[in-house]
Amino acid sequence: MATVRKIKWKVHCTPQEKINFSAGERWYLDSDCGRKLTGEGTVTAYTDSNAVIYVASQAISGTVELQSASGTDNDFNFMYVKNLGGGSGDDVMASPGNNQFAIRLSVGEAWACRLANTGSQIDVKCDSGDDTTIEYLISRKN
Amino acid sequence: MADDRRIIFGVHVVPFETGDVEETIDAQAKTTLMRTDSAGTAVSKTVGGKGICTDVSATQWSDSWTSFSHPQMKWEDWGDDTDVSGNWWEDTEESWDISGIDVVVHSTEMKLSETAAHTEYKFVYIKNTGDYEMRLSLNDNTSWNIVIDPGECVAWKGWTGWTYKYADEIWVKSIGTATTMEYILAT
Repeated sequence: MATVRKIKWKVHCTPQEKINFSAGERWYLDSDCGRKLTGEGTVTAYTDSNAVIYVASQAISGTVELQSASGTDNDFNFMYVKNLGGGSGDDVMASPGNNQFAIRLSVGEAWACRLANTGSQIDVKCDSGDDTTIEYLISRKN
Repeated sequence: MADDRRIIFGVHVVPFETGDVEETIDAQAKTTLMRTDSAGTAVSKTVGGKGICTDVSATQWSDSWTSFSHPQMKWEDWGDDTDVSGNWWEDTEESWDISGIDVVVHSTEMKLSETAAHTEYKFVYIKNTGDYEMRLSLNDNTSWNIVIDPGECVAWKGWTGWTYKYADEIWVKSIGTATTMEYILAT
C-alpha cells in the first residue's frame, strides 16, 4: 500500500487582561472569555507527486505564490506558513486564496488552516521594501 | 474593567504518514512523522509558531467582541440587548457542559458579528463548535476559501494594509446545515 500523507494541526489562544494595582500590575486570563481556547483538525493529502510541498526556508520580498512548485493552482486543502525572520525580519502577510492578504505574521508567528479547494492561488507577501524568510507546508486534497 | 489586554496564540503542525507494515500478522498500519514531502524534500519534524498580539485595546467595541459568557463573567458585561446577536438570555444558546455561548451559523452568509463596528480589527479567533462545515470570508463576502470543520479553529492578527481590514467585513456561513461557532473579534 502506498504511503498516505496526512497533516494534523492545532491552534491555541490565551486571551489575557491586565489589572493595575497600587503595588504593580498582573496579567490574568481574560474575564470576558473565561478560558483558554483551542481547536484541531486533520487533512489527508492526495497521493501524486506534488500533493505535499514543504519548504524549510525561503526568502521573500514582494509577493510570492507558494504552490507554484506544484505546477497547479487546483485543489489545495491545507496551508501552513511561518515567518522565520531572516533578512530584515519584517512582517509577512498570508493569503489563503483570491488575494485575501488579511493575515499578518510577525517573526516567530504562524498560520494554518484548511482550504476549500477552490483552485485559487496561495500567496504570501511583504510590504513594499520589506523582506523576511518563511517556512511553509501546503497540501492537495485526497 | 481591564487596564490592558493581549492574546497569546500559537500553531502546532504534525505532518505524518501511514502505510502498511510488511510481514506483519495483523496488517497494522504504521504511523510515523512524514519523512519527505511528495517531491522528496526531507520533513521528519513537527513545525509551528507562536506570538503575542499586544495591539488589542483594553476597551473593546462592544460586549459582543467575544461570544463567551460564563458564571464568573462580570455583570456589566451582560449589556448587549441587540436582538438575535446580543448576549441576553433570549438571544443566546448555552451548552450544558461547557462555559460558553455558541453562535448559530446559517448557510446564508452572515457577518461574524452582526453588530461589529466599522473599526480595524487587531485579532480574530473563530472555532466551529457544531457538527457541520463552515466557511470564512476575509474580503467582505466575496471569496470563501477558508474551511473550518467541526472542532477546528483559526486565529490571526489583522493587517492595516488590507483592503477589508474592518471588523464588520469578516463573514461566515455554514455549508448546507447550520452549525455553531465561538469567536473573538478584537479591535
